[in-house]
Amino acid sequence: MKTSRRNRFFAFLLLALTVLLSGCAPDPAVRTEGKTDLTALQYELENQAIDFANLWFYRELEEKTHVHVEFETVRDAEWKNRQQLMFASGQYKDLVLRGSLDTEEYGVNRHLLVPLDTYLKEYMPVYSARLAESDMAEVIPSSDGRCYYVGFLLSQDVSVNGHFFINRQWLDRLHLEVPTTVRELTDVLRAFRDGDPNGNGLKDEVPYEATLDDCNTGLYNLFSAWGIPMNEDFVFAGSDGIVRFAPFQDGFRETAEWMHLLCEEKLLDVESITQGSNLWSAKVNRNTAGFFSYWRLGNTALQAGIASQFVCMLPVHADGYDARLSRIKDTVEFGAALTIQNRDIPASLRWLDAQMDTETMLVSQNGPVGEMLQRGEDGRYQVIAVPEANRLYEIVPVICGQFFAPKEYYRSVYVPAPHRVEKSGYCEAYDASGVLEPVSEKVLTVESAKTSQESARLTQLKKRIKTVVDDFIVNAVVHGVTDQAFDAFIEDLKAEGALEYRELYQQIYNRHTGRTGEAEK
Amino acid sequence: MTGGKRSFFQSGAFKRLLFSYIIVIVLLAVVFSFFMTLRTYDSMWTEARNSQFNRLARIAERHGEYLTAMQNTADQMSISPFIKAFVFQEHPDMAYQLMKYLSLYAATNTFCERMFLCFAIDSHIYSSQNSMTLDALTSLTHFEHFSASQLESVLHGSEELTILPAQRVQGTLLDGSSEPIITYFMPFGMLREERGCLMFLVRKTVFDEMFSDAIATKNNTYIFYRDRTLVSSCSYSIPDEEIRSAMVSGLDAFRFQGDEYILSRVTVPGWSMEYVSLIRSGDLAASLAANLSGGLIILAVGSLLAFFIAYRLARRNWQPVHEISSLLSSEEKQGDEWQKIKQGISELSRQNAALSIQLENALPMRRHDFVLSFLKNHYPTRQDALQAAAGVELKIDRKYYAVVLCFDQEAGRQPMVFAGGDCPIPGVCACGTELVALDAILYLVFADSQEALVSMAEEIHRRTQEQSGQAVTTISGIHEDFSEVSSAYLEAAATYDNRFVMDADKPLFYGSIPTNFGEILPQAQRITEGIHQALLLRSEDLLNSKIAELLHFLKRNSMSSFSFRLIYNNVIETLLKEHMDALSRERGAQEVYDILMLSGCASMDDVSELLRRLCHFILSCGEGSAPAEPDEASGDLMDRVVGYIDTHYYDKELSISAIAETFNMPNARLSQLFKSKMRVTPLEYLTMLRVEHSKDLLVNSDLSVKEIAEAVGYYDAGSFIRRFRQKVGMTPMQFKRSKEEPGSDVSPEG
Repeated sequence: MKTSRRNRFFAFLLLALTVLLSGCAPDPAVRTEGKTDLTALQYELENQAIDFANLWFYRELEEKTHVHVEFETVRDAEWKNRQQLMFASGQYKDLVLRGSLDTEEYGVNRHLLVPLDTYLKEYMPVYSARLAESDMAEVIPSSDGRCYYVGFLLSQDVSVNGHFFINRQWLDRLHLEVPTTVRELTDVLRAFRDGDPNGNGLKDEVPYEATLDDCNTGLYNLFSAWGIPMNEDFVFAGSDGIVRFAPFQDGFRETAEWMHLLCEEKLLDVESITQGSNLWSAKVNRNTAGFFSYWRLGNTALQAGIASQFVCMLPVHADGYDARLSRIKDTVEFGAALTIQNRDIPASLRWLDAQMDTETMLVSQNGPVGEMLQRGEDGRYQVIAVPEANRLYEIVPVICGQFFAPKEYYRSVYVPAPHRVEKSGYCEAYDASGVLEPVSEKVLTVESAKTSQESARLTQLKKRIKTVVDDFIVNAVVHGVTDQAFDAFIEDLKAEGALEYRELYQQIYNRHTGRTGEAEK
Repeated sequence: MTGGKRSFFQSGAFKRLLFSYIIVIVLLAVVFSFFMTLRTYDSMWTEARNSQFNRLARIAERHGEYLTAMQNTADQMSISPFIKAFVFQEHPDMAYQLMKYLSLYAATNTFCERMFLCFAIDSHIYSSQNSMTLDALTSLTHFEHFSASQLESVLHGSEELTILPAQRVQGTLLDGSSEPIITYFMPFGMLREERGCLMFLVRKTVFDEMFSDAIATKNNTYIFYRDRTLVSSCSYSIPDEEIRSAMVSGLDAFRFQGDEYILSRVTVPGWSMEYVSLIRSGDLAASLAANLSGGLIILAVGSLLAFFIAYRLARRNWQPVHEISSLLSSEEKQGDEWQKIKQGISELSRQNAALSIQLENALPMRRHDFVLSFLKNHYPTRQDALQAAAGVELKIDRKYYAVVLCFDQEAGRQPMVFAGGDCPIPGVCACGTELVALDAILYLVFADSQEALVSMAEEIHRRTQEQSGQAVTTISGIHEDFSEVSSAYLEAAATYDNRFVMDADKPLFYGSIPTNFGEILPQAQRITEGIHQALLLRSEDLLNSKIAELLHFLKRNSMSSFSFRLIYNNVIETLLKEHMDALSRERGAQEVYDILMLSGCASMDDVSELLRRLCHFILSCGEGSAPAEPDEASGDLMDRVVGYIDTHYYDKELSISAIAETFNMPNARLSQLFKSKMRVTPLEYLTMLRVEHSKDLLVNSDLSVKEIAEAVGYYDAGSFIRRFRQKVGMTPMQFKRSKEEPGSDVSPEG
């Protein structure tokens, strides 16, 4: 009996010491706050620094989901290189967020992304339900039929990327009309250069501010004057079902020559070929620019005082040509993907799905409810205040966050903000004037299904072609276009696979439309 | 149960035990805590210094990697064939190519927020995303503590590494954001016209990551570049000048506003960098206390356990103390058991000492011992006995002595002493002792005259009767030789045996009793001789037979106790005298034979056992000692002689001469060696052997005496009969008849 009591006593003592000692030992695998740690490669706008780590929106989200994300932000110019570097290093982040990602390459071919099909219904019920109700469900799967990414969709019924804006105040001061032709625009720009329209007594006006290689502020938009709906994929489809390669179109050389003329006459800021959007906006905001192309005026990087001087104008056209501007449409963009080194797939997907909640999603775009957003009697949310100078990015991620709102759904929950109404107005005007290409290039480059091999090949060829095209444009702007230079340009394009590139797109588009396209004439 | 608990808790001994144990535990805990505190304190100081040094080394290494990466970039710019200095206004297309080149570096830089390149001959500055004039740069970008002119000067004129301390940079360079930035200017280019400068903007948060391993929130790390604080993360409000002053003085610690700060630093001369870390002593002490608190909790738990064990031990050890104290003190009073035990032991010691002294000083006791020793004949000489008697104040050096036995019905009476002035009769000394086994008191009476001795015996008798009312007093014969004391005792005892035929109202004298002793003594001596021979022959069977014969003889003769005692004593003395040397005799007298032992025998079986033990003791002594053997060779020879006699005893021609001739040695030598070994001569041994064999033939055969005589080696029956009667005490025919009639015995004369 005594032995038994003695054993019980020592057993109790051992237990007590064990509990005491185990209580002293920390568990390194668990955060003290009991949250899940994740890492993310986060896309960041070129001209908009966002402090993701301290953003109000993500702090709130962390409290709600108990998931802490360490962001490594990468700017647009370095996004693709950084992606390649990450996947080449073998040390992947848990998540890749926004920007773009070649899911065919990293998902289908290299198997570095997690196929999400089996997880979505369980861990992303909000997103899954919304995706099923939209007509976008067929767009997301890759060539192997699997979904490697969470889509980003902001249906605003927008048809144009960059609209042309001209300084109405300067026109008025110089008693000029809004130009409609290349010739008129050139003259207006000359007037801006020489007429001191900003009235500061200095000849500091640089009439046309642009960037190089995009369809927002970029020089690519100028090709519209010669009827070429230039885009960043360099191909477009006509109503005849034929896919055309933009640099091979008539007017491409003329546009380049016009660019040189603008540069030579200092109507175009020569730094346009080397400046980014942040410097571009800084220059526009200095009130030295009279003409540019841009997404819209309101709620952008432009100061309100500057933006108010400008008006939207239709694209000019060269003699004998109809203006043709690239048409865009709502498409599913890359929202997020999970790498195969993801440490907690359920937590990652729950964190993403939490952002798809209607109010959370709208807050991520417009700011907190009560301050910048309010819910009307019809149940729809409405923007009530917009911070100036893009201060919104100090609170919420805006388009760098997760968003999935098909057209009908979006209309049912959201009253468009004035700046979105502004954009819609410009788009409607452009569409009504017939300057937009008949078939959106997104149908060709995004909606038309590609095989994995086709996708990889197109990516490869596009990179080569872009280098040739951009080099040509830069040389054209600086040095002008000679026959020899242009012929060399064409030969270089062919050497880099431009014909194959177009042909591939033709085949893809044929499959998409179900008809047999012809060869480009 | 309740009362037991009360007394248990009220016990002073328990409290003292428990208190002692707790004191030991507390002392151990204090010493252990003190030791652990000192040890932990020292180790924490050392660890803090080492860890700070290691931290700084890691930060220096990481920072060195950044610096090396920037230096490598600058070196590559210097030797790259794709990067040639140009003027933007002349070659804007080269700016475009340069930016594409820079984008490769930008993509691989993880620590650098922005990297800009500026040629000395150009007014533009380039990054992977932008190119702009320096004017545009300075107008669009604002350094908190660095003017536009200073910026232009460094970009165009710096020929060595220049680092701007952390400061806010706002504007185009950082896309409108404003945050602390550390700016590095790294010149490159070998030729003057190719020279340029790389400007790296590193967010302070990059350094904060390097500092993030600082102790908890106490970020207290500095990076000094030359004489400026490049970046720091410190929770203490100490001016940098104080720290630099301490560094210049080479101090490891310094005081500021009453607090002591420990300073650790790592110097990287190549980059002119110094990495410094501060710890406030108070914070370290607090950290120590926090660390010790865990140990103290464990110590407290251990102490609780120790207290419990101490309680159990105290209670367990208290119980025997309580029992002992109860035994030593019957008084039911509140008090300390230790005190009770102490007092009890003290009292016992005192009593014991007094008793010891009393006993040691008790003359009667010593005299008692003397009387017993005298009676047991332990004093070898008369002189020894006289000395011993003098030691107990007895003067026994007198001519006569006798043994007086007083049989008293009253137990426990102490013997009287008559010595010196106490003696009523002059010239007499008497001393007695109690014989518990006999319920008697034995007196040794020494006197100068026989009359005085008798008078003393009568006085003893008279006084004994006066005390008890009825007593029998017997007196031995009067002796002079002290060695006859055993006989004297037997005489007194024998006289008591005859008390019924004598007048017990008077002292009974040995000389007054009737006896037929003279008639039976020869026969008893013959049997004793038989035992003696059996011992000589070392025949255990024969010995047992002779002992049985003796006992049978003693029973069959219905002799008085006196006779029995005398005969028995005679047997014992004969055996001891003949077969044991002085030492063995002494041992035998002590261990086997004691005159008082015989008195203690309750039956003939006890007497038989006493005799057998003595005989076997003699046999064992003979085996061990073998005192007469001159040497081993002669011993072997005698064994062969004995064996020869044993196998040739029936030979009529066998004689001492024949045996000597057989073994080739003189007669005298043979006799001497044989007697030394066998204690008898060869001829005596041969006679004993022939008689023993003849006995066997007499009992177990129908041979005539004449035939038996010839069979055992005699020439004629007459010689045989004479020798047989000499040895056995009867004729062969008498012997034969005695064996043929069971239960009958034959007197030697009959």
